[in-house]
Amino acid sequence: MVSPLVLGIETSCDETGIGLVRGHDLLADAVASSVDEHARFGGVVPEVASRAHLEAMIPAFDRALATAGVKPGQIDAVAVTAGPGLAGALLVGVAAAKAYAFALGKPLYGVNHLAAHIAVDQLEHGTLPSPAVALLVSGGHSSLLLVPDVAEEVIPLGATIDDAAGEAYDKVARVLGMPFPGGPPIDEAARDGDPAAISFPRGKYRDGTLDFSFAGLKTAVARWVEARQATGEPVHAPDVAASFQEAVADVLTRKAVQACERHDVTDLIIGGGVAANSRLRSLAAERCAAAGIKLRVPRPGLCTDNGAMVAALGAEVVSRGLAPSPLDLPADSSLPVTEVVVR
Amino acid sequence: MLVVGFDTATPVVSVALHDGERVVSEASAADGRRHGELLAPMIAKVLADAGVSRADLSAVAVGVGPGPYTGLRVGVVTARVLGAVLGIGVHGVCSLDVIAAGVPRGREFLVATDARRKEVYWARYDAAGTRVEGPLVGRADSISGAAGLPVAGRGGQLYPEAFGAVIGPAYPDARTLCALAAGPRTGSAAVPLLPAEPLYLRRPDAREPGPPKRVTPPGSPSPVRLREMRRADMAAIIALEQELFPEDAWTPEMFAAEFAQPPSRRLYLVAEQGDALIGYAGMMFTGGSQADLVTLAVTPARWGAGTGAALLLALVDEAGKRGYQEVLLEVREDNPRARRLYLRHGFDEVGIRRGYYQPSGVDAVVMRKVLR
Repeated sequence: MVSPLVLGIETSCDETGIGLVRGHDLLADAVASSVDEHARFGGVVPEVASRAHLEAMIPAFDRALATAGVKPGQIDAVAVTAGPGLAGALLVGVAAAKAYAFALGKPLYGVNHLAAHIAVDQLEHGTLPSPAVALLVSGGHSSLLLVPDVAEEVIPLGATIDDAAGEAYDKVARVLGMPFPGGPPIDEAARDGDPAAISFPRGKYRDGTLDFSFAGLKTAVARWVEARQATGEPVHAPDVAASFQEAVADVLTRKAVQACERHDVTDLIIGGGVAANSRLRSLAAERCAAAGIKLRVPRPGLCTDNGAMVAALGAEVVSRGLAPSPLDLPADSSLPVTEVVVR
Repeated sequence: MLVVGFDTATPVVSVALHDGERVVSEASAADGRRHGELLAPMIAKVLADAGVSRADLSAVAVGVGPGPYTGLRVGVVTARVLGAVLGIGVHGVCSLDVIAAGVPRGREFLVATDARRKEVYWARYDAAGTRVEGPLVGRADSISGAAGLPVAGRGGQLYPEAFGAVIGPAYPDARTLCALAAGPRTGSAAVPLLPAEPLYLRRPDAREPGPPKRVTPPGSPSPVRLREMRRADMAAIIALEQELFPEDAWTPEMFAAEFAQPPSRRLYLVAEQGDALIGYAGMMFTGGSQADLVTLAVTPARWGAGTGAALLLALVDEAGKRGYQEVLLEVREDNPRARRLYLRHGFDEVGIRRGYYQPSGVDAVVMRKVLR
């Protein structure tokens, strides 16, 4: 039997994503990003993102269908990110998804953005191990999750108590005069820097929890740079970038490994935009190998927000025969991760 | 012909189905912030009530505002998707025109709706009901001649002092919207059909940021600077030493002995703010792989502002540059503030020296940070 063809719609932040997935097969992944429009503001502007989603929605849908070589009538189910995310941005995707579901006469599934970041790995590495631990790090999230079953049971283990890791990257980039978003330029600069040059603080490093804190680190970097600027000393940006990145990767991977050990889990999945970071990937590989943990990280294009991840989770939910969402599905900017499908 | 029409530009969500001659079914709900939840089920209900299927639709009409953006976009994206999937036309109508179509003809009037922030979306219509100015956004009292003109739309109820008589309707009605879109496209009062594009009127609220916000505390009259300690700092350092460590303060002789060491074996830094010395710290480099942090002090009035951390980081930094592999220090067991500082900066507690501090007999905690 052929698996159902699932459309996935993602608009929780600044990427308009339309994905088409059948089972574990990725047929199309069209992403339109408004990141360039936000760059001069130094961060995502919700209203700019919402306007861009409206304009990008139908062209992205058309592109995805053309890539997959399918007709709208062949779609079997519509999945959409119902949250968490920017409220106004989510609402464009949710309203569009309802219209697609209604016009196509197919069921609607409002799904959780964080769970989708985990499920997307199935497109690359096949069925998820159970249970697994997931580390999700992006501009909006930094969470550790225990995942007995990505379609039905996701348990939060820890999360950032202040800034997300990606936010800290953006802010440090600003302090160093680098463009938004901060991840790629810091990763790039860090290649020429010494990660041990400056000892930046690791928030909540030894507090015994699986929570994170990046606000203090971000401030420490700014203080360090300001102290140098005040005395007219040169700031060697590559060393600052490398030392900052080391602090982030150190605390993320340390707690991810701890989470696995505490819950007797031997599989770690890393997702979210920051999972594209080279140092996080290499340090995670090193520490997982040392701890006997199998590491799964989707390729960078699937780590950042996209429609394929929503379709991937939708496909998993559909394959279980789980009930769809009602047509009055709300967009929920603070949807808890325990709610994989909104009903 | 079967036109489904809806407007989400105001707190009222209104949906109707029109067969070209009359309204066959309709629904409306007033729940300002739930457009996204209400609209799709209402469309499904209006079709079901009329006993028709989505495949029977021949056009979609949508109010394109102006109106609060979040709700407005729900209507516009729904219309666009329905049109695209069903392969039918999508007609946009200015939501103010929908309200205006419900006003009796015969004299000039205004339509004003709530634009929040003490402003209204508004347009001016002539006696034949044709829009002659707008849509625009602004304060009600800034509309020229408004006080002498009747006004329809919620804006009239919100700012009655700015307008003449308040007349109806208050909100756009999808029955009227459908009739406008399905009606004859000729005649002087024909309402212009627009693309399904929101009439935002305002640019997104976003300002380009200035330079990064400083994190050094605003209480500081001037930035804290670190520099190497000089003999001339001695008086200030001894005073601070006695305030902070009354029991075992370093004496001028002890500092003199430290200064007698060659610079290759020591680094003492002070933190200065304006002319005031607010902290200091020292490290000994005695060869081998370990550097020793021998003292670190910050004047209590400047605690919590990162001065201690800055001194610590600078010295740890130096140890790294000089090729040392680890930094060791001793800290009083009863000084949790200092211990937290070191823990935060990657030091581990590796041992205890019993009764190290005399005469009180307080233990010293030995802490170590491994460098690369």
